[in-house]
Amino acid sequence: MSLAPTKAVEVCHSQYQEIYSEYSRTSKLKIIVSHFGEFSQDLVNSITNSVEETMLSMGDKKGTVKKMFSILVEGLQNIRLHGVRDELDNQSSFVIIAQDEKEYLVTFGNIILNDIWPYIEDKIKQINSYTEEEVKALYMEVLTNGVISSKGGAGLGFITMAMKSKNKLNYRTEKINEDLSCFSVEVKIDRAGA
Amino acid sequence: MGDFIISEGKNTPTVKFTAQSCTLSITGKSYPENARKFYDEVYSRLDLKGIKEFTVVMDFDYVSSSSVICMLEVLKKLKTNSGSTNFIVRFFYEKGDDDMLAVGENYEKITGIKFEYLVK
Repeated sequence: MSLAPTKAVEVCHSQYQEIYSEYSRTSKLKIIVSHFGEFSQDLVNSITNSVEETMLSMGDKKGTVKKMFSILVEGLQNIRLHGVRDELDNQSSFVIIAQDEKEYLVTFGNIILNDIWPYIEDKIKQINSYTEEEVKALYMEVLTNGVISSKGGAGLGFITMAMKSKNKLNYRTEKINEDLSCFSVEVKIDRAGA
Repeated sequence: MGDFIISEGKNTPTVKFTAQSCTLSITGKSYPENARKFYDEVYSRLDLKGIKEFTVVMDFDYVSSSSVICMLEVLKKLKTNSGSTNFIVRFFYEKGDDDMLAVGENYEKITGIKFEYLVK
């Protein structure tokens, strides 16, 4: 961990360790990638490409590999573009990828503003309450009518992750202070599903 | 408008325009960090004045959600500003890759441009 010490780093790192320990305690799960700290674009490229190669070498179906690649890109770009920096300019964030025979679990964590948390939670709850067809319809609606931000996003990241995963998005948050929280989202990919 | 090429980057596709056939082809992985900037650059290179038939070839190995949105914007702007140009879109996807096929089908529905789907 090479981030300057702040409360935000401490809370985010604690959530990372908590999830890492949970995965480690689950006997069937094997952690294949974990990183806590900042994510440069080179690191994003390196993680996505190495996970793709690893999955292909382990015999995962091409469809599963593509879903993983897509979820990783959406999650890691989300961290880089939207992860909030603390008072010492740290962009605390993490990713953990674990696998067993049946599935992959991918957790992304970053700092968010408490002010936007209700919006994120509503969006995830909405997606989780929808059927697969309803999620597709929501995707189409946002694609058709969404407003593009200066960064080229329009709120399709979580919808894309849910569409690719075909599973519910699990999430947790921990408050850092009045302004910030650590947020993480877990995406499940069935190895037999693609 | 003359030929141009934007070479493939680590997370950007190859973009090539061939004036003789009036064909714009986009090939490879597309997940630039700032998709808007990348696709605005592509659009800014295009000038459809006097072009009767314009072909767009899309052959993505992977396309991020922000790239999907920004490429859609390129198609919408081309159609809006084209006057009488006729568009043909050839959309490639791998057999069984329903997610990629859906990207093309969504584009077709939203833009009203006729798509031709080709398995690669």
